[in-house]
Amino acid sequence: MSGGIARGRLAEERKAWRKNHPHGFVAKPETMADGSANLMIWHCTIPGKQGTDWEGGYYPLTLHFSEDYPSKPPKCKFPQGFFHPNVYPSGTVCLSILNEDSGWRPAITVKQILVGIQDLLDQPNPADPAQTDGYHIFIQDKPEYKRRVRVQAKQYPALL
Amino acid sequence: MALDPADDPLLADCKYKLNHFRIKELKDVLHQLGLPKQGRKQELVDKIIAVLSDQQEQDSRLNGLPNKKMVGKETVAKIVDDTFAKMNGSTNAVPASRNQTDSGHIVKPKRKSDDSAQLDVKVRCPCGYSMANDSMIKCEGPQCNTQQHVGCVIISEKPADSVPPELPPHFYCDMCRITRADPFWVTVNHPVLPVSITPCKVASDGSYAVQYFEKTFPLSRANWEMLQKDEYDLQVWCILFNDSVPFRMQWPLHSDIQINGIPIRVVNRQPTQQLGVNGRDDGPVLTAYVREGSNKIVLSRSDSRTFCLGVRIAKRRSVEQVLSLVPKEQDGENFDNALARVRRCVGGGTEADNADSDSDIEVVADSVSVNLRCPMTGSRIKIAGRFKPCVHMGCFDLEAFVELNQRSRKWQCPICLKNYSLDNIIIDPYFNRITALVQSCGDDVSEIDVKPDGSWRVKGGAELKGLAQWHLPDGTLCMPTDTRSKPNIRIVKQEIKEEPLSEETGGRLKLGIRRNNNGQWEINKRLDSNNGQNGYIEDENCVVSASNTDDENSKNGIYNPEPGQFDQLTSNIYDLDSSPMDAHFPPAPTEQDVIVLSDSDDDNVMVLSPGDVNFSSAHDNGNAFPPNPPEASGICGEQPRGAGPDVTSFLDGFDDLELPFWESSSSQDAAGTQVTDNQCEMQNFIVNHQFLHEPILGVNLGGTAASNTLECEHDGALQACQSSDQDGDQNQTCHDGHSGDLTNLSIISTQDSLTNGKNASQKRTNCEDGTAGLDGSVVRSANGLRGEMPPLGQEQDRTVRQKLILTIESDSD
Repeated sequence: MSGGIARGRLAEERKAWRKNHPHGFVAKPETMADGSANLMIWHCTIPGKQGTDWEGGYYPLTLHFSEDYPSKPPKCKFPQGFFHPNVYPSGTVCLSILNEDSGWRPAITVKQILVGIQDLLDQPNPADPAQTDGYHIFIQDKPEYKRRVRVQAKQYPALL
Repeated sequence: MALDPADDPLLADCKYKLNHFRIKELKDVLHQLGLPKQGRKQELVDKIIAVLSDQQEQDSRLNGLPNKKMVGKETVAKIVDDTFAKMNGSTNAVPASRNQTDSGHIVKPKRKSDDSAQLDVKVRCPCGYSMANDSMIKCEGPQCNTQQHVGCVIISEKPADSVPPELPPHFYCDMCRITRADPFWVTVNHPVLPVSITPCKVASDGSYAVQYFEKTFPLSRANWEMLQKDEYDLQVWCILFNDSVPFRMQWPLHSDIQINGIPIRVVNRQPTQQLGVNGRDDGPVLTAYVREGSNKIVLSRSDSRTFCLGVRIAKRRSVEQVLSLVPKEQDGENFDNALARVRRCVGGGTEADNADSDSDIEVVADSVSVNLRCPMTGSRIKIAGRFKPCVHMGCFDLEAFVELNQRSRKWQCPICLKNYSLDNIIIDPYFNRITALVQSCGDDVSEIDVKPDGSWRVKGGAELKGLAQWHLPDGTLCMPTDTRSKPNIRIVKQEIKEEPLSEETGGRLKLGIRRNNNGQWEINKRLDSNNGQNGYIEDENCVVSASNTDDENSKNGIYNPEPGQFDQLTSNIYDLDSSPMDAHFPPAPTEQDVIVLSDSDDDNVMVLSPGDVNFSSAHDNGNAFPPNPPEASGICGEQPRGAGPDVTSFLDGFDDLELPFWESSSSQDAAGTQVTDNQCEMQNFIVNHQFLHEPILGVNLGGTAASNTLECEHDGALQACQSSDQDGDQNQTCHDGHSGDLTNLSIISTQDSLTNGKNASQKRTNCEDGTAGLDGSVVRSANGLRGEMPPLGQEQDRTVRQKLILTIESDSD
């Protein structure tokens, strides 16, 4: 029964997103084989912030909501092997507002999640590393890190 | 339920004696009860206790046969008592005073009298010993009189033998904690009473060795048959003694459970991961794995903390049953207390904690925006629930919150994340009245303005003329509002239907007639609904007399050029509003739009705050006489100060997360500018024509109408960056100040009026599509942008076009 509340909340999120969302971002529920929308999985695109090495990239992100949403935060995943100190090898994003025991609150909206992850791209948190590759290069070799970021930005061009 | 107080002391007394029996005495009792006598000492004790539990169950079922149940229970108690007396007689170790105490316990159930308070208190500790020592602590549960040993249940973080542990301010026993952890389960009985799980010993290499806790418990036929019903389940539960969250389950690290040799999954997280402060553990259900008779449960773990484990038979509660445990609105909290909390939160300015952390706090305005959306569901609250100890004024939807916790069991405030239990939930009297009144509005209506004294009104005035007026916090004006809301809805519908016919000549005549009828009818309605408000009767009379007599109307206009008081200002505005209907019949298409706006103007004038009155007064002066350069520069100088706090408060809300949203608004500003420019060109001829005939009238009406339309657009946007009143007024004044030519002044004001009127119509037409918010946002941003950059060169035009393309891309997403 409580799964109905998760879907109701996600329907409201969908409505709010279509009414007003930040420029460059994409967020829509997954379309199933029969054409209907699966509200529990959202496919999103996060643009790299202008003026940063991430600029020009449009990074795909998948949001997995559980029946316990919004009591529990969604799981947000970049593609596997995404290069960032706070992204696990599986692509899962490590961010305080996505951690139930850290910064998550039920009132946090999908918009806030996506904007928060965009901020995380250019402001990694070295105190909480999630992958060895991104973390070590970020700590020891800044020029190489920036080069890797720009290379990745070219790997995810705009779909238009 | 009434039998429980009588049963518990008897059961406790029997347990006390059974624990002191030797195997010989235990076998004697079992022999007299006709039960098998094989097994170890503890098993024999459990068998006798199980028989007593069965008696309790039968008692609860056969509530209509008191004689039979008393005989059964009394028989067992008598047998235990006789055996105990024999044992005491054979040994002189037991002192005589203890015999007298035991006799008191025996007599109590029969007489049903409370000789002293101490007799009601019983010792039931997870360590298993029922003897009281020097250090006891009592449970705070209202119907629980359990005492437990301090050393057993108060576990300090750093064990120091010399220092006695500090007692917590509130203490609940294990059974009361598990009951409050999940009110969707009602404990029926305990096949395995709560037992302490001691910490593991540290091995030589520093790691904790795996330790096993093993327990065999009998399941009687009666309990077995009960478990076959759908609403009953056998559950194994576990809590951490010194958990910072008292009302939740928590399992040790590396927990594994086997029931009758079958492994059962306990937690969903990594074995080495502790439960976080906001997490909750489950109690696995064992119903499918147990059998009648003897059952065995084994818990293996590797943890240095002290836990408490038990097995219970519980009955499920439905959502409705749990909701019925929440006090009614008048029983939960006094309305005055709720109002005091709102006044403290709103009067504190930046300290206000709104229902939604995303809502804007307009620290510059006289009121605070409060969002009525539930932080859990995202839609408007139906029943405003809250946790009583919370100091903020935010609420949540009560039914959704309880239903959600059937699965998550997180009795935690979704706003401040403090942990409570169902016992602390109440209905907020202040907000529940507001949500009840707003129930009949559309789903998009979700914000209210609240003044420091608790007065409130609903945002979205164009469609909700009744609720859009200020209400007293105690709801004194609620009845007139209810009466008025329905007629307003009808008016809105009629206006929508009339829009398509506005271009036809025949339609014009009909529309004119209808508008006159509607206008007069509306005036009569308003007059009736305001009978109870002495302060407004005079204004209503002025409106009536003005609309009836043309001569008197023109006289008022001439003889009141300089408004000095609020009443006179109101009269002038009414006169100007009603003139077009009489002097310009049949009305032109643009005139009809203006007439529509004049209706909302009446409502807005009645709710003007002192600040708004000053703005209107200044605006009126500016239009009546040529503007003075010093005054204009002064007004323009105020604009930066006004914008500063808005931006600051906007960024304070959620700096990192909201900043990109501001950039998105900039793009929308560009698009709005394009739209506005096009419409201005189309309306150029009509504007000039109108200006020649009615210069003063057009200017005044345009200015006021523009301000009203801006307010409507502000309500349409989900998140506003600035106060619409302040923004609109300042922009208008800024235009007046910058242009020294009266002709340009009139043209600009009228253009704004017509453009906004057009967009207001479009917004009304498209309200069902859900695009009204975007249109309103675009137009609002357009006016804001123009206010900031009056001159538009060719370079800026190119920049605007580029941004327009980006905006289209954004829309397609």
